Amino acid sequence: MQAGLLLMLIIFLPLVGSLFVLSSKDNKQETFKNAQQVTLLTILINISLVLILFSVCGASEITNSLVIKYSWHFFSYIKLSFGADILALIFVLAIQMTIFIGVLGIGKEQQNQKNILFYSLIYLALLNGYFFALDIMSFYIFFTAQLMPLYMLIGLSLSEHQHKILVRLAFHHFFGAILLLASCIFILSLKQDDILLINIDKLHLSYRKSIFVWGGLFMALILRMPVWPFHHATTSVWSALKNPLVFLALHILPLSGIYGFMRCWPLNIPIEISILTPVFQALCILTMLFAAIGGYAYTNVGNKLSNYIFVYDLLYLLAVFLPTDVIKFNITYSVFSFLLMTACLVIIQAHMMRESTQEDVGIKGILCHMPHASIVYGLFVLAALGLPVSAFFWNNFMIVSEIFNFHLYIGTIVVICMTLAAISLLQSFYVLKDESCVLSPKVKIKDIDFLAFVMLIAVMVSLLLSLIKPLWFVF
Amino acid sequence: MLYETVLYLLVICIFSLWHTKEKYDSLLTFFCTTFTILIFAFFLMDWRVLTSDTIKTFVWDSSPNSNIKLDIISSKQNYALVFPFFLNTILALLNNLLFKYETHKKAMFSLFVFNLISFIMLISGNNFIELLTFVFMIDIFSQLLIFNTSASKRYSIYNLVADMGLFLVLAMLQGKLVNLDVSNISHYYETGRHRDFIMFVLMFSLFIKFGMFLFQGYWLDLKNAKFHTLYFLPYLSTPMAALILFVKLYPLLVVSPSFVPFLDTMVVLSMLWGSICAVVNPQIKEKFVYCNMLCVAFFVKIVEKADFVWNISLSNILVCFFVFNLCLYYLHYEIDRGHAKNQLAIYSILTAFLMDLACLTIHISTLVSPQNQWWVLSFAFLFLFVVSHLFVFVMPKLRNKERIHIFDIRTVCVMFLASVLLLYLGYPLILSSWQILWVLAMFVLLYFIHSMHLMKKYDFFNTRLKNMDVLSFVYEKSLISPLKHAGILFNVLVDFIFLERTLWPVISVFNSFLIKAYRHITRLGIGYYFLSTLLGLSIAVYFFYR
Repeated sequence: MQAGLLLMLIIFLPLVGSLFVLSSKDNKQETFKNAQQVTLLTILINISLVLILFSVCGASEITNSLVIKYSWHFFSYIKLSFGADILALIFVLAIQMTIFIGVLGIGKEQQNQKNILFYSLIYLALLNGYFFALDIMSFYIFFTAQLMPLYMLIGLSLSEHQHKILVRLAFHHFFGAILLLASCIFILSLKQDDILLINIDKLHLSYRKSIFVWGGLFMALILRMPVWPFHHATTSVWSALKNPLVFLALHILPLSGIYGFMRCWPLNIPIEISILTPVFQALCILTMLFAAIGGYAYTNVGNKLSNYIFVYDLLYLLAVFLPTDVIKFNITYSVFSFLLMTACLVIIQAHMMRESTQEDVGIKGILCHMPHASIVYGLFVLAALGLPVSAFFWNNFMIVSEIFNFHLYIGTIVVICMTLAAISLLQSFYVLKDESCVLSPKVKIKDIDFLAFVMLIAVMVSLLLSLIKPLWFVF
Repeated sequence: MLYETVLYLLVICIFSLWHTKEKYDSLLTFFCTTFTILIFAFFLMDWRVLTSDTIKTFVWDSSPNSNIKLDIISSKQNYALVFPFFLNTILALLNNLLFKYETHKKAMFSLFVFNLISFIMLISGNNFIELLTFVFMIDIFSQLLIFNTSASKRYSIYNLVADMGLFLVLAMLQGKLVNLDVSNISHYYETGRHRDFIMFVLMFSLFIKFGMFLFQGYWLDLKNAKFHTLYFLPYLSTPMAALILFVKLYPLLVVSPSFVPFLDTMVVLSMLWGSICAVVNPQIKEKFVYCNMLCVAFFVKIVEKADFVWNISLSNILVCFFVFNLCLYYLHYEIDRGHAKNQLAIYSILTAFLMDLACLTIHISTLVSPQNQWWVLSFAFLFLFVVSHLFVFVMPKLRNKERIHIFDIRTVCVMFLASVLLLYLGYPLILSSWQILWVLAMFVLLYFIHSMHLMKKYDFFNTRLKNMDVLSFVYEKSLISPLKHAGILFNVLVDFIFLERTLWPVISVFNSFLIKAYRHITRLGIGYYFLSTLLGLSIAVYFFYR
């Protein structure tokens, strides 16, 4: 019961925090400070609750002590079930930490900060619900509900003439939500008790229903991923976003799709839709190659990072589709490190962009004037390249080796894409560290805050410890 | 045992990270270096008393696929393989301690020792993840040791590509074997295929790391780095990590029929290109890089000819190459800094070089066999020629600055003794083959001309031969001019016509086409959106009906 209470607290605490943020005064500077502190405190409490849950949830399987069920009054056969296992908890922890880093990186001069923090907390609460959902109905509810605060966040950060790209993104997601709803209705029409996500593949469905259910589920989840031909909606919003927190919020969305696949996609693809597997893999690989080449070709450091993220999202997508269960934990550990690394890189880049805009200087060589930012940025770039600085390194090795086990050519292209993505990230690092573009002493470039520096170093240390033992924080 | 050595080194390394006042840095470095030498002495004693192999294993992570372990295997072979890196590190540490212009002594000490630990772990490891980890660690430490952003840019990108090639090969093996142990790679061909593909990817990765022909570009960037960081890099960084991988992963290479021709081609090209460029290039650092390219290429071939079985002679050759670098560096330093009056220092450097050359010859001679005699002779010829040229290149600086007459007889002695040692080496071969005799005769002739030129250049004959220009003429026309012309021709053909005017423009055009296509497709217009969607759907339809 205590564990169940903790679970509910993790879901609802950000909602309470968001109310506090909303109630803060409308004095510009003070509002931001108060709202930021409340948000950070809420997320910190949530992180500590997740860590406590880790110690309760010792085994990888969902334990009875961590499952809570609620029946609906009118449709008593529909039960909402929530629970947590190690996979869900790692995802939840990573997301709390990502949003925490994003909140720290948000600039004081940016507009609508109070509203952005408010919606980010709501988004966090709904994401937590999504990751703890065990049955198809609660999965659908949180799957759809999390989009609302995300759209608000994106809408607040985009300029007026950019709103059409948000409409396009919403159209994709809406289409996916409709398909998932249809699948849910079909499943619920079987009127079986407790239709848990892990049991969907055990249902006896007719051929047509099976196509509809699996096709709907597949499309709903895939529409969150930046896969051709649906990548355009996500990437256009990505490139337009300037706020690091909102960027990170959107960055979590494809990973929630990956989690959805891990949770409810059967190990062996249903025979009804397995015929489409090569098509899907070809599209994934082509998109990945395109993203990697794009990242390599771009000169903008922000675009290089976006394309790097794009490549790794697709790597995880390819990995979850492999007919094997052995790399489930490798994917999760890798995603954990990936989220933290990219979050830190995004906020440091955002800080550099702000400083270069304020001082009206180029971005080239800017790291030479920021000793603290230079250290942490260098370390995170090393980790992101796949060097042995975090668990990202050997978990990716395991993932790629499994891809090789099934498809040699896909594995080769995946490694080529990873190499291109890593090179583009390294190029951007050398642009930022270019010693030939030293600015005049009159230009005062501000380094990252000491608090942010300490926090980033702490994240780096935790990533380093994850190299030695992935769950080092569980006792 | 090796794990104790690693443990002691780790302790001393952590101790060296202790923050002290700047004035105590040298003192702390002195103590740490002394203890490292002591650890080296223990290492040698352990090596001597070692009777059987011992394995110390730490389970890093238990994965459902396979256990990721950290193995430290103490065997005679591993000790022999660790020895040159340990000794080279000790020499580098002593240099770091005594070199007065090195300002970051403590940091350099830590980096050297961490680098050495990575080498020991790489050598004694028996797990793919362990191999990858320590190869990557060596890359990171090498870049930190270079300590120059512009010099390390291409270095890091090239090595990243090489590392990803290695990553690809090992991931492929793990996928097929479902076992992370290096000892199992010989079983790969029982279940797996693509032996040529694996060999080519692995060899490309290793060639990049070795800095062989076509991949030497990033080494040339190191001319922007300080010379005192350049001398140790060829024998304490990525090329040596590649060498260890070459020795460990050879079962993947030898099964491909293309391996030997591919290796031979690259080694020949690297040796020739290294020798020519070492002579033709006007900069000392570039000459230095090319000279090392020649040495590393030869060493790779000699390891292959020794059937990948490491022995003490191979270790000693590596140490000799390192000492040669050190001698050349110190000679250049003494002369370039205007310290030429310190004749004793220069004389001791030359003596050290002479001894080094003698040792090198003796150890190479122990490896000579009918299978590799041509390789050894070719290398001996090219190496001595390049080395003597390097000395000729360095000496005029001294002559212009200080008119002292110290080099004449000693330099000739160096060359003479080198020739004698080489004759000693070649003696058993002369009896077996007439062709070798011809090559040797030509070599002696060339050296005679070369030595005479040196004598002339440094007024050995003083007044008697003062006006005799025939030696210079012969030297210039028979050796330097053809080489320079060949070098210019190669430069024009390879660098200018092939690389600059053909290969890179094609890649550039293709790259810009991709950028344009990418930007067009990802534009925000609704038409482009439908275009990209249509394109994606058509690809999907194509693969469905394929």
